[in-house]
Amino acid sequence: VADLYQGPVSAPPEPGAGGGVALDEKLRQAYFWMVNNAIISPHYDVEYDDGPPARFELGDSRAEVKLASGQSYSSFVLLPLLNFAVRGRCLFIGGPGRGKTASAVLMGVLAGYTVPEVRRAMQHGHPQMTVADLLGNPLPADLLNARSTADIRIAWRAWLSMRVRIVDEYNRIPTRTQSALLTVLGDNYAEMLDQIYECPEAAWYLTANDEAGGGTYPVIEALRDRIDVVVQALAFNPRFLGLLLDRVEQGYRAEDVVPREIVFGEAEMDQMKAQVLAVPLPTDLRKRIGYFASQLEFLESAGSVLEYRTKDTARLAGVDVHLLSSTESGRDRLKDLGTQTRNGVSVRALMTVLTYSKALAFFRGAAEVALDDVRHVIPFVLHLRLEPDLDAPFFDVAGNEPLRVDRVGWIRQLFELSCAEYDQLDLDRQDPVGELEEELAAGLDGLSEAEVRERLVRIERLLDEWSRGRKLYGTVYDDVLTLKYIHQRYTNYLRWLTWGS
Amino acid sequence: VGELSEALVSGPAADALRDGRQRFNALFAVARQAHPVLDAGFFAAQLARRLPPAVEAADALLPGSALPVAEALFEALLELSAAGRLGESAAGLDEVFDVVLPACAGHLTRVPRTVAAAICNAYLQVAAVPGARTAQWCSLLATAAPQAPSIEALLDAGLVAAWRAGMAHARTAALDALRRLEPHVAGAALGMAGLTTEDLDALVASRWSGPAPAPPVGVAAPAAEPAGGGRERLAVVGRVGAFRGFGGGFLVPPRVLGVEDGVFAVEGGTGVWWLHADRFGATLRRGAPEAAGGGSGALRIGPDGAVTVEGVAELTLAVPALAGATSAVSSADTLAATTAGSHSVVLVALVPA
Repeated sequence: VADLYQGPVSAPPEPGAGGGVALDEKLRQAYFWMVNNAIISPHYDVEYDDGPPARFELGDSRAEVKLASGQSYSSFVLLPLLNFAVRGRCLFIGGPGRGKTASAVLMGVLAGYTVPEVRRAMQHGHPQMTVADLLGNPLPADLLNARSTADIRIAWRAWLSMRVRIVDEYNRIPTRTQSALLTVLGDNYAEMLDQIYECPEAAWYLTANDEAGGGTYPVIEALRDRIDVVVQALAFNPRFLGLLLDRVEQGYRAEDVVPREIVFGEAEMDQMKAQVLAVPLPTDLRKRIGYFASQLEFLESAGSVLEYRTKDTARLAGVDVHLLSSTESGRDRLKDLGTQTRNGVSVRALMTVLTYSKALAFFRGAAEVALDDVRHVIPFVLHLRLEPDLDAPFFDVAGNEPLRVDRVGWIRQLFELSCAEYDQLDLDRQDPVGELEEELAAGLDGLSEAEVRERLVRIERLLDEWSRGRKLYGTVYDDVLTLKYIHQRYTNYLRWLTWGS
Repeated sequence: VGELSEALVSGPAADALRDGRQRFNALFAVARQAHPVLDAGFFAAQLARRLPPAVEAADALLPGSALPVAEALFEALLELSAAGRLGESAAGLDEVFDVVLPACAGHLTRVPRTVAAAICNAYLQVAAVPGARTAQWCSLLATAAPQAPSIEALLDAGLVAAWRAGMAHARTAALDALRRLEPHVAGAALGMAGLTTEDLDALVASRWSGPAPAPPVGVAAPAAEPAGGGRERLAVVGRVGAFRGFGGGFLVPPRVLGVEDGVFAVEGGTGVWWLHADRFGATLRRGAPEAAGGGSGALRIGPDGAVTVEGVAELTLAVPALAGATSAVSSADTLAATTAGSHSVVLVALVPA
């Protein structure tokens, strides 16, 4: 039957019908359509190599030019798409007129909405924006007749029910309205006059002209922390002015001609997220991410109790982390990556790193997450969350000055240094704490008293060995806490065993 | 484009063109980047000519459906135009846009792009088969489409109608489709109102049974008197193929090489062809070089062109044009024979009396 219906007229799938294309392939098609037809972003900053790349150094600063030997991507298009796949929260930053809002609108069209629908639903932040502007209004008749707030019905704004939500210039929204936005963005429901509106899961796109939270109102920290990835609109390359001229002359916008083939239905978005989360992340890679995070939170002088020796303790006490850390001695402040930051990596940030790394692997059609996926994702996830200590000695080293400004470059380098140290310590093969963790994970059932005592001794020996000369770095600190945890689990088990007998 | 064609149409189609003007103009602009020959004026005229019937029918059936239907038809017309299929030779498409697509209005409101693409493509496929009757296909499908309960049924009906309109090579698939269709839809697509299971069995059993065929176009049947007075008779049912210089496929007088499942393998200096023939038409399709196999049917031909049926003495037919046949192969009910002086294959068949 199919043969009869083949011909010059293509029959793309009806919106949301799927059309039998694998979702990762469809996501790649969307990416390539966007870079070829919609967004002029010739910046291939997410680099993959299939072999040794050609490298060149230019200028007085010896700026490295690397010609990637594998399929590489533009973060300004890729990250928003990954955000679409996992239905996360993406912030576009960059100066006015660089395509932030247009990119966000494209994402709405990819979700099957028409351009007018997306534009009408977009929330434009402004200094007079009220909670009612954002969420909706109580029905006037109910306001007059209601005997309790529960009787007042709310006309919720349509954008709350959409699968792509866009907030333009979110840093111009007044603080009180930001709090209402935080509830929707963080917990997916809206609340007004005791009425609750449960929103469907959605991909969020926010834009801001000033990444640092400047603007008419400072962005509340909780709201900033809930942003999963930050993407910077890079400068336009005038060599591509010809493409721009074509568009001006033809008089059309890319969002008006999004092909049906790359439009995702609601069910497809659900499936895609499930498929992303199912991409395996190898244990070695997980340990490497953990090793990186371990370096950043520890602050030896922040407490006397072991568990409280963290930057968060200092932050809660309102003490400058830099001042405290500069009083520490005995450790190499250049080698200690923790001195470069004023805070650590939150659980939410780590979850986001894992999720977006999986999304990138899914997008590439890879069977599992690779180190490069994590390497590329980390800077965009930690962009707003990791606060550099610009007075740290690291930034004074010759050649590192630009990293005070280039947040993506700095975080990327931070991770590279962490990986280099991880490799130097050969932690993939020599990890006594990891072995003890695995033993514990195997379960306590049927473990004999003798075996438990032997493991307790091994933990104590290890700590004894470390106490004789090993410096207390962030990674050691987390290992020590882990050993203490394992020791406690065995101690409790031993107590239960001996009590039973 | 949107503006130009809006000026030429009225009603729901004009409203749809106005509502979607931005997207329509953008689609046209993108298409013209790839196909600079696209002419806005010509395309606007095509839109004004072809869009309204189906859009109005869909909007009458389901108010508010005009825009998505117009969008699907716009994109189909744009692709047809880009492929050079909307020129002066595309007069036949009038029937598609005036008759068939309006009849498919119900389906268009549900899956506009699928229906628009399927109908346009199918029409072009039927039109590309020498001898196939596009007018008949349009008429049969226009009758069956409103009765088809689903898009799958519509596509099946389209296939059955294509077979009925002369695409003999679609026979097997069409018979499968007939079994899937509800009887009234199958009957409408076949032009056999009140189609029964017995009728269907008869169609399966013999290539030469079924409703009275339209004269096979391109299968110029010579005026030969039927022979035999029983339940079956012999008749010349077709003359298929022609010299390449006259638009046919053969460089030299062809020879019949064999038969497989009722389909003859023929060679005429341009490789092997499959000759499909039945009551509704005959088609030649490119075959594989190894395609061959002897026939074991009961029809025989003598040196004088007399066709007989082995074991049935009263069934004979004199076909003087086949005297001195250079090749002849018989299937169960059909004899394909060639002569040195003709670039055609003559088909003689046992047809129901």
